[in-house]
Amino acid sequence: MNQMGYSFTIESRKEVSGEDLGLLKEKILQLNWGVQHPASGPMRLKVWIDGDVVVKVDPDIGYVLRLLEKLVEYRTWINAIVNVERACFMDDFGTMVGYSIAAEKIAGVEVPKKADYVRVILAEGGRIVSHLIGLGSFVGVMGVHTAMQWALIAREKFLDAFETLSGQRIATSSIVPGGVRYEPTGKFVEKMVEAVDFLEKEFIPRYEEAFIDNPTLKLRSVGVGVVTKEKAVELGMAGPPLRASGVESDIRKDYPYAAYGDFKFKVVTKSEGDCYARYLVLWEEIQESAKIIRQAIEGLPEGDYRVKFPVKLPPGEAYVNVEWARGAFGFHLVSDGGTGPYRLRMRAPSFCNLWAIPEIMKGVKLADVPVIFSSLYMCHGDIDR
Amino acid sequence: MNEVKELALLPFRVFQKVVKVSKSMFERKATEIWWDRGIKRDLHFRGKHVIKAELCIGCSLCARSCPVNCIEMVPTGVKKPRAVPKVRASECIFCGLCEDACPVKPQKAIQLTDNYSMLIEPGTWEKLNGYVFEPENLEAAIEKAKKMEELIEKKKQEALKKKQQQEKKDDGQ
Repeated sequence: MNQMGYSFTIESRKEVSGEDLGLLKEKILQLNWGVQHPASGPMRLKVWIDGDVVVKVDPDIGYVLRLLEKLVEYRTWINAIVNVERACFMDDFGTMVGYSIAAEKIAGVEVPKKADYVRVILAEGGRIVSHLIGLGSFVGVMGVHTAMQWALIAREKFLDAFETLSGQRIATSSIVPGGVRYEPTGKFVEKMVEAVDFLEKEFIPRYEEAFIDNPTLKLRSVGVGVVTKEKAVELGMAGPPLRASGVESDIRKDYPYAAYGDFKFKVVTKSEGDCYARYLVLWEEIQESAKIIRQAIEGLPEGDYRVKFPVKLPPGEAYVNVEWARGAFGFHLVSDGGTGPYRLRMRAPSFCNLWAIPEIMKGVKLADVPVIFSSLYMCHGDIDR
Repeated sequence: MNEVKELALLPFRVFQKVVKVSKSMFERKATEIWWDRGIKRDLHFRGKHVIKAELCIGCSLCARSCPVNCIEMVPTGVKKPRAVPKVRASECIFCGLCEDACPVKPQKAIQLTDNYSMLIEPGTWEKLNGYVFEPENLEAAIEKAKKMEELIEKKKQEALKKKQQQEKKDDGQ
């Protein structure tokens, strides 16, 4: 057998039935993959297997349900960001940008250009921070934890920059309806440039040498969990997994929000649609995001960074889509003329990718379940909300 | 032969060990206690609240802006400030929105500082519940406010007296 330049010899073997060996008589077995599994996170997959082949998969979610959508109804327009950003701690800027734009649409408030640029810098920083963990955990489920450690070193530089801006590393609550809360000082810009420099000059060459085009990693991931272009659209997938199947869908390019219309970047797509393609999409998106941050810092305009936002908004509705780290995140915000949101509905991309799992995992080997699961790049805080 | 040698060297070995142990007592510790030294922060860090009672105007905007409702307005008994904020630290998420909402200028009456050390020992239910950030110099501020009120009342009465005297004069004429 020849694969990827490596030759394996497979010994001839006899067919032995399980009953002869005193094994189980039932053919189909149910396994609980998750809750305590190191790769699963706080959720469970019920997996039915026939020997080594997966017959059926049923996701069981709800372990980290926090009722964020309901909690927002008890907040004012400004302090609802505290709940919105907790949809997922890894990229909290994307959700705050979406909510803020929706609230501004209802109020009819126009944001200064500087605030738009800072929002782009923060959102792309959040995307890099999130993708780095995605890359690290994908290699991590195969048993190599070096990638995660290297990714965390690069991530730390970005968190330092966020701390300089807002005073917190993860739950920054720095973007509000009406602009951004803190002025982007020279020190913040300096730290952000430092972080991007480290990412481009040190992390990317070192990581590329070891974990991209790696033959062992390719053995596990090439041709595993293939989703065709038609199937991906039919299943309603979102974000990097959708782009890995060859669909050129990116809200930043299709319906530019904030200041994304001013920057040059390309939408990363792959045609293979397997686990390795999804991994490569994350890898190339990090480099595109770094370019956007450089452009935004160069063209950072001067002026106000926050305008006054009214306490009471007129009745109305707004729907806003933003390209979050994990795909298109939709916000349907309803106002009844009060001091806070009447209803907020969040359309989460990870939830859409989750329900593609039963289709993708039909007929794969049990050992491929964690690989496919982590390549879909889901966040549990976002699934349960 | 070896055993005899060991026995002969025993006092020396004991002495060696005593020296080793006593030496390490004066050496630098392997683990360092970093929280006493403090960490250097850039610009600002969202830590412990400082509430200044003499600056507060008692508008309760901070309590209304708090997303977790951990700020309580405590009535003072004077007219200005009518009430001052008190932050329940065990519920606070340190988002800093109260600082944004405060209308006092240029220095804010409620502010988040660099102070991050908030160790409570022992961490019992009563101690955690009782851990609150209370306003500074509250009594002095109340006394000041009372004096101000008295002054204002005096002035008012004086003005009243003057008015009455003038009215009497007007009537006399």
